[in-house]
Amino acid sequence: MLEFFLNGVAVTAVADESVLAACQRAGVALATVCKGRGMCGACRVKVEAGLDALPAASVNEARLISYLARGEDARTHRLACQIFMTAPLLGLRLHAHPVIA
Amino acid sequence: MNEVLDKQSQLEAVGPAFIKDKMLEMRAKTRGTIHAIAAACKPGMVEEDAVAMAKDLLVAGDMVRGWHDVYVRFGANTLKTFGAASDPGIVLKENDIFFIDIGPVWGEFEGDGGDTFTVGTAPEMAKCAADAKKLFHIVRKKWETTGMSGRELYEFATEEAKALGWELNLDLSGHRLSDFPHAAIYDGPMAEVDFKPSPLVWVLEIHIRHPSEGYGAFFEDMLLDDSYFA
Repeated sequence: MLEFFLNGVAVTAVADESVLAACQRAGVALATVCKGRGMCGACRVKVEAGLDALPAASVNEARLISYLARGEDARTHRLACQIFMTAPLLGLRLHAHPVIA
Repeated sequence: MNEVLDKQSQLEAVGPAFIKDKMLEMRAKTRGTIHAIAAACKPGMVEEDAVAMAKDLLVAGDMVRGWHDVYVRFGANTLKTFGAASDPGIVLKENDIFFIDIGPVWGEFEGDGGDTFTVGTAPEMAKCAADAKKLFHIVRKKWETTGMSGRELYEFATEEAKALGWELNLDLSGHRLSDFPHAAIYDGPMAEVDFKPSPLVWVLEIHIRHPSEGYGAFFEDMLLDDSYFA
């Protein structure tokens, strides 16, 4: 099991499970409208620790983040539905944003 | 009766950003984008490339965010229901059918629309595409001229689809639309509401399938009166 933290709460994921799916399974509140398809941005999180271990965002994720995080440092933001837990991401620390950015 | 009205009031609530004219503007942008995507779909194209192209066109129209995924379905994938993964690598043939279903968000306003197109010479497929749109308007007209509830409208649609020779997919049976996100108010199907849906805040979805051949067609637009379809 791979542990990460959302708003300070420890959540465990199975390998290759998305952060969003792991949170939903664990009953930790994290919003989604598009049901984890990387379209709505409701599950946007700020990466507080572990940013360097994350694979680069896809073109679609990067442009949505860029749109939603305008005025902030977009490089530190990701979509929880597009982060898939692997061993190098152990201990990842994330902070959730509200549904409407 | 009051219980039904209370339910309607609850399920048809809108958020603080709701503006009627902006919803209509969003509808026009959505439908325009659907036709732009369709115009760029050519025989020989792989479905995954069409989806990427559709996303690029949406971004170009300032519709980066979507409340649901972008669907461009080619050939046999037109049988797939909402949310189902397409079979990979499907190529649009010379004589073929495809549909588009997009749910973009522009500012705080949600759009949603779908339409079906054919390429080459495919008369049966073209009839399927035309019948999806025809059935949409038959049901929409029934909505406009009667007091039928969402549930009754889809019961009616099922029978009308059968009369036209198609099977209606009730997994795609209408839903709310609003300022983003409508899902916070009501995420369920229109086919399960027991009141007459109000204009502007619901979309009517029609997904028909050939009973034995491997294709179907989809049409979706807002519930609005005739004057919006001139």
